[in-house]
Amino acid sequence: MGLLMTYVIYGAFFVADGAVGFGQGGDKARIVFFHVPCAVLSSVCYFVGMVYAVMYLVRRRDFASDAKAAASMELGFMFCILATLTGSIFAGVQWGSFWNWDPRETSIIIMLLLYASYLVLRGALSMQPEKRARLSAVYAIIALVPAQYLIWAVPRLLEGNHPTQVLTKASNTSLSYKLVLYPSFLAFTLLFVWMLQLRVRQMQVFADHRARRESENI
Amino acid sequence: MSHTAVLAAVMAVPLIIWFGIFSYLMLIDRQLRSLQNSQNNQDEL
Repeated sequence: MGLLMTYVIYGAFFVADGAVGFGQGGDKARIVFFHVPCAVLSSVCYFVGMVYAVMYLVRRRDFASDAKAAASMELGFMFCILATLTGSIFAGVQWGSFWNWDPRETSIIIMLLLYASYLVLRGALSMQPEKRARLSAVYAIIALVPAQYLIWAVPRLLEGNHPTQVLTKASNTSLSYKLVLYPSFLAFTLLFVWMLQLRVRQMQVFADHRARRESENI
Repeated sequence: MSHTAVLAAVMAVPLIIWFGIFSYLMLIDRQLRSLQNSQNNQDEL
């Protein structure tokens, strides 16, 4: 995975040709190799978190499912911030303004607020672990509808600056682009899986430690 | 500065960030493994 990401970083600059239709011979669009996987992963993380939230509600008192849901949401928030930052840098150099209130820009801000609300909810109930797990699971399920609507529907219903055709039209994507973009999706997904299991293991160690201390006090 | 040199200079930024993140995650992975091992040893005793 480390080597794959290193290849993606190298390939973004030296394997892929400059994208047609962008400034400076397409050099400005090289950030796409990092921005698009982050944006896609931010919605995948939400979906994964929601699946674990449902599993928590189905199998009551399942600590592992709650931990995976929370870890997935935290990582989703991180990828959402990265997608916003890289997108804003691209907008700044390509369109002349770092923020244009494009439909996708607006929807990612609302997506960030949805993630932040989930994390604030968990933080507010940190002293009541069972109530925290139950309420945050319900929130994750309810907020899935606006989250998916914002990610998939809004940018397709409203016209914006986003160059979606660069990636969706086969004639616009050269082989050199695909040779970097697809490994980039894989590298970021593997990074997400690695970070998810690290965070879940850390939560498990912390919970075991706390349970041991409580049993020692009794 | 040639075009290739500019690209290489820009590439160095994400590359350094990536090596930093990767090393940090490896460190966390190792420390977590040793913590889990010590917890398992305590459980066995």
